[in-house]
Amino acid sequence: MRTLSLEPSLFRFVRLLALVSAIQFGAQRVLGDDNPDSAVVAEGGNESVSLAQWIDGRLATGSASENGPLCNDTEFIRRVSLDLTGMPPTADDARSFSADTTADKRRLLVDRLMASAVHTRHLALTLDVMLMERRPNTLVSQDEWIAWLMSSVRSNKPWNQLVREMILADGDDPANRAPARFILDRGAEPNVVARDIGRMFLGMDLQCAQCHDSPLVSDFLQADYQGLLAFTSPMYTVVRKHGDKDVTVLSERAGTDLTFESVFARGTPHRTGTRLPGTGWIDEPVYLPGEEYDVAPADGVKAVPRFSRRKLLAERLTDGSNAAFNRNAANRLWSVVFGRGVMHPLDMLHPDNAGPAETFLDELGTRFCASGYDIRWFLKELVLTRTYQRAFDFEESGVSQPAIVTQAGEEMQVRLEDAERTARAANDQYSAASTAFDAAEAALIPVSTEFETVRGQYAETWKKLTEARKAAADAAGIVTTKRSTADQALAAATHAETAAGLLSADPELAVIAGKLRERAAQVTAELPALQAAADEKAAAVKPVEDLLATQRVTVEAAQAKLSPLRSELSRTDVARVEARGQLQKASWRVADLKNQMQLNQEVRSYLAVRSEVEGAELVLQRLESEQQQLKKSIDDSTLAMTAIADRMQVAEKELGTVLSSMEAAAGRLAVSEQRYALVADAARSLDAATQFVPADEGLSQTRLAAVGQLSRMETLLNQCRQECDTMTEMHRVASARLETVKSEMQTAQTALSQSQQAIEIAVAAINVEKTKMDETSGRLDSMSHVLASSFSNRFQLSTLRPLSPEQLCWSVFRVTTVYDRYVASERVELDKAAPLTDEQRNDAGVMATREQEIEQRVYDKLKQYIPTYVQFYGGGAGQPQGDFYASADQALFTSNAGQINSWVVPAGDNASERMVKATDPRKAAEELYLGILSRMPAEEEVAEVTAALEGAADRAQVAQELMWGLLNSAEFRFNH
Amino acid sequence: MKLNYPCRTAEHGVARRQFLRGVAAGAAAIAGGYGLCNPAAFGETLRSQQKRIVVFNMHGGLSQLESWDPKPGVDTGGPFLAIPTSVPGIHISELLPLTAQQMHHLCLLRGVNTSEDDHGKGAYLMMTGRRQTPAGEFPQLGAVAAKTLSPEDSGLPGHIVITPGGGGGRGNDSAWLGPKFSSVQLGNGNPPPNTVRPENLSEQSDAARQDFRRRVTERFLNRRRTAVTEAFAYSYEQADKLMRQRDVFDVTKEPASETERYGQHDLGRHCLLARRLLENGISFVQVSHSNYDTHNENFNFHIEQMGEFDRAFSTFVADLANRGMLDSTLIVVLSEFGRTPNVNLYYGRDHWSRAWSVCTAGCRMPRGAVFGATNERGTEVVEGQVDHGNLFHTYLQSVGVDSTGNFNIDGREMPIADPSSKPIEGLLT
Repeated sequence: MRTLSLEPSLFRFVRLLALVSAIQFGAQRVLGDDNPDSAVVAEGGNESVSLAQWIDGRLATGSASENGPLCNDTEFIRRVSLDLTGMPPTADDARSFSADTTADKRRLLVDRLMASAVHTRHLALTLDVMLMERRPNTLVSQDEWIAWLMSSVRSNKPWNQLVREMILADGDDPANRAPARFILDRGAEPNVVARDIGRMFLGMDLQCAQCHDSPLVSDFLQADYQGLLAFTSPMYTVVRKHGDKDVTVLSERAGTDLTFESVFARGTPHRTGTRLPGTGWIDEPVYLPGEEYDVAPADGVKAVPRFSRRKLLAERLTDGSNAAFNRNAANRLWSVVFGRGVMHPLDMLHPDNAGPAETFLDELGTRFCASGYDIRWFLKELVLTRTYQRAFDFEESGVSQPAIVTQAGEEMQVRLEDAERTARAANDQYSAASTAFDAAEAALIPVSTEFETVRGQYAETWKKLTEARKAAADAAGIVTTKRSTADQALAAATHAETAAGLLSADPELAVIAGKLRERAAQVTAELPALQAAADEKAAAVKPVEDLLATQRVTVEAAQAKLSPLRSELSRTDVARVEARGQLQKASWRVADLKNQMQLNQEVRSYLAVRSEVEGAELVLQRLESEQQQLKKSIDDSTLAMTAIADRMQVAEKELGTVLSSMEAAAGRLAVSEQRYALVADAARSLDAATQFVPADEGLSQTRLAAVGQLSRMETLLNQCRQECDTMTEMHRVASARLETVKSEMQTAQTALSQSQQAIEIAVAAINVEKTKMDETSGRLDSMSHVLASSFSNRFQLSTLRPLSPEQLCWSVFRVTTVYDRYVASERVELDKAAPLTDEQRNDAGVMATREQEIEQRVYDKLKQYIPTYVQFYGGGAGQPQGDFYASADQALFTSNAGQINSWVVPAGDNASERMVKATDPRKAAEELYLGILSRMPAEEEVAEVTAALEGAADRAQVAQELMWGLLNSAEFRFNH
Repeated sequence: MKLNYPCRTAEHGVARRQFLRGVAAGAAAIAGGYGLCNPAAFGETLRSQQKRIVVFNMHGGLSQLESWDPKPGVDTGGPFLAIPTSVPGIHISELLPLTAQQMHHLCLLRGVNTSEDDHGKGAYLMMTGRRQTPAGEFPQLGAVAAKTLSPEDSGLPGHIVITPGGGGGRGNDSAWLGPKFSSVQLGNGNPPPNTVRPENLSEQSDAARQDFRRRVTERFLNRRRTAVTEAFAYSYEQADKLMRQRDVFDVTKEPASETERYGQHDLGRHCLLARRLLENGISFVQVSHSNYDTHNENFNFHIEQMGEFDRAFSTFVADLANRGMLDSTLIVVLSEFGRTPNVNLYYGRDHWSRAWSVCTAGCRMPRGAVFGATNERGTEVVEGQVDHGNLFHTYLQSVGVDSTGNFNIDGREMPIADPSSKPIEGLLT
């Protein structure tokens, strides 16, 4: 048979172009062999840097201070254990890692974790969820599938090989049925498989492009979706007998071109064959009906087309030439340890969805491809980057100085304008290329339709020919059968006649012989008619054969007419793909710059608010120092007033004394005056009496005595008067002094009340400023959280990632020591059932196998718990699983269901038991925090635990309350 | 320098609450925001006007001829009569005498044509408003209602499905709206699981551990506060609210006289529970009545089933009307399809999606109305033809949701209802 093939040279040309572009991107041709040493990618000639260094260099922003500091040891061991093994470290491991002083201990830890059986398990389960999104196991069992993923991870199967195996497996070989799950458990439904190949392997969710170019993502084209569908549309399932078992396996028809139109632009048909985003329409051999299959489709038969589109897909997708494939692979593995993709969501990798550092993800994909898609090496390099080891806490000092930020913003503006110009130019080129493609497609469609028509006619004739040949063969068969019947009847008649001759006494035999001969004659008589019919049928074949031969010429003519048009279409498609690639790059640059500018704007707003806070702080300081001064002057005034009051008291007392002395003096004066007046009267009377009785000696004597007395009394009186005057003067002085002191007091009081008024005003001002400050610093706090998220989205701070349902389940097992208790008991059991010799114990290989066996046994016992966690924390089957959500029924589950409540009861060396045993509350707090959160408690936390435990009636009860509390904290729920 | 601004002041508490509200909006953007309404606006003011939807799902396919669109006296009509209702001129099947007395509240849509005679596919399109496509699921009406109608701060789930039997759990019916909006299934009307504190845990002990959890979480949130961490912290408060309101789910708290009024059977209890749930602000409740797939003995079966339904449903409608809840509650009685006008050899009717009926009431649905009509023998729609897409749009419009808008799910715009369809024109008041 002859094969009609479309321009093999063009076929090769497209392939060559793909290769050239792969080389341009720096990718090596991938042969699937392991080559971990290629970890060191040559950069700028002789200098060699590891992938980790390259990533750190590439993600370093202009200002070094924006790249935060690194996390501490306990943060690192928790983070990397969760990311690589799906569970946190044990308390003892966290403690000893902290204490370890080996310089290279982080790298050594990573090696240890990656060599562990739980790492294999975690990665296998992660790949399961990534690839199957919790679809039910309808045709392939979960155990079989996980076992295949486990062995793939263990042998470090390259990513492209993993994908290739999943696309190629048809499930017919019982030993290799597991990888067929990818397609079989999607029901081999072409749309489902096409969409998920887009999502899982190209990072493009083309669902919206199913019926029209995506209105939301300019890069997601209907042709992309239809091109993928062209790969998957020939697939279907058949049920085969494997012994007495019915087994559903994948089968494949010969593929045809698809015709489609946009629901937004009905009436403009488009056509596509197999096409991958980024490579364009792939040319493939075309076989005529009747020549398409090695094994044709039939009931219970696995059909094998001569040209398998599934094989084509497996090859083209994974051969290293497809940038989208490489980019997606790198992004998905990145998300395994970083909790989010470089670009996010994982199935929305398009030019408007920028990640950091423009084409960083594409370059990362190229490097991953160049390593031979070495998953183990890639993950290891990722966790050894400084980028992975970033600290979690937002440090204000990590934000650059305002001047630098402003300048950076201005520079970005200039760069953005430049990038936008480039993008516009790229867009123009892309539009031109698209127009050329559309024209080529429009030219092709009528010819293609014509070809399909004549091909259809040919197929019809082929069917007729098949039928005619069958009819001829059937008719010939009938003649043969009849002839043999006639021959046998004739022979029987002859035998019967012979017998009748021999047994002439038996007349019945003669009758039988006669009848046989009669029948033989009858049958023989039918023969010519049958033969004629057979001849007619045989003759009918020829014209159909002739027709087919004629039609073949027509088909070949149509084919020849179509061929250059398809070449032209392929050429324009390649040009369009190339232009689209350029546009993508330019758009990434624009989008990244826009993101950077937005972040820059956020930083600037943050800095503005920060300076507002600082300004407010200064004002507050000034107000507070003024307040202090006022306070001091009040204090001074108060002090002075006390002194004045003392003095006033003294003065008042003195005045009182003076007054009473004065009063006493006045009293004495009055007495003296009274007495003087009496004596003076007496003297005057005596004087008068002496006039009458001049010589009365007695009288004279008396008068003299009175005068003398009077004189003495006058002196006394004068003394009294003088004393009184003195006292009056003293009183005046004391009063004046008191007045002075009083006025001093008045002055002091006025000053004090003034100061008091001033201080009230100052306090009010301070309160206003404080309110403002609280509001502003609250705003600054919120902004710092927003900024922290923005930084972490660009990997300048550690990302916050919720534990997956599986991680949560295994983490609960780990911190409640359930996991390690199972490991211990399985180890004992296995050592008893199959003891190891000393020699075996020294054999690393044997010991590794033993660890795998133990892990498998523990997994088999504990896996029954996973569905519960999936039910509460997982996404729906077939839906993206990365989205976080929190709901009341999760909290109700951990609060009230039996499981977690029973596991926090002190037992099996778990944290609560260690707490109960600890005599020192500090030690108890350490056991609690190390056990659940893998870190030492802060002082505040120690105090909290101490307070809870001290004087507790039931320490065990309190210990389990605290353990439950930590298990349900945000810090446990999120890796960070 | 670590941020050390005062974080424990009352003012900051206010700021934090504001932040939470902002976060609620952010969370909506992350977990799928409803672009057309601001979740932050779902406060006390709106709560009083909160709209709700209740769906009576008549599994298996209720016969329109034995219920909403009787055709007595023709060869396809079956043995039952049509009776007058509280609305002059409108007649329904004599199997629904009590419901007939509530007709002034109802709006019958008699021109439904969904062109899908498969149980699974029919149920899918009636509940999602779209035909099933191979690559991609759509959220059910209950999930859309929970997302658009439930107050953000409600402690109760927004999407409840009361299943006829079996255990509870969570349905897989919210597609890309995410599990937050998937149904909480109340198996045979029992309260949701894990809503009772374990017996060996005292109230004090529970309070102590929750208090410790809250403090530890708050410390972590001071380090990094995002929509995601806030949502996580809040889920425990929601759980607490739900436990406190557990009685909402407990229909035995209703007086025995109420149970008597609704009927002493599962459907009666479920309808009473539905009323209780709606009264307590749950946005969407689905009650199921099984199984109407009457390929055999259609008539005997409908006598029995309609008897149960008539009593429970009419009491439900009357109660909602009396309690003033009809303005805020949309009632929909639907099936996956109707039943053939032709009566088969086994006195049964088979699957029929070309001309059947849906009964609605409340919100913006006209009261005491019939929209659309079938021909004399009930074999074709002759007026007011609508399909699942029109119905879905109309339900949402009726409760005030712009069904032509989009959800923003993780950066993707997802049409709320089938963008190639539209609400029924000129129906809503």
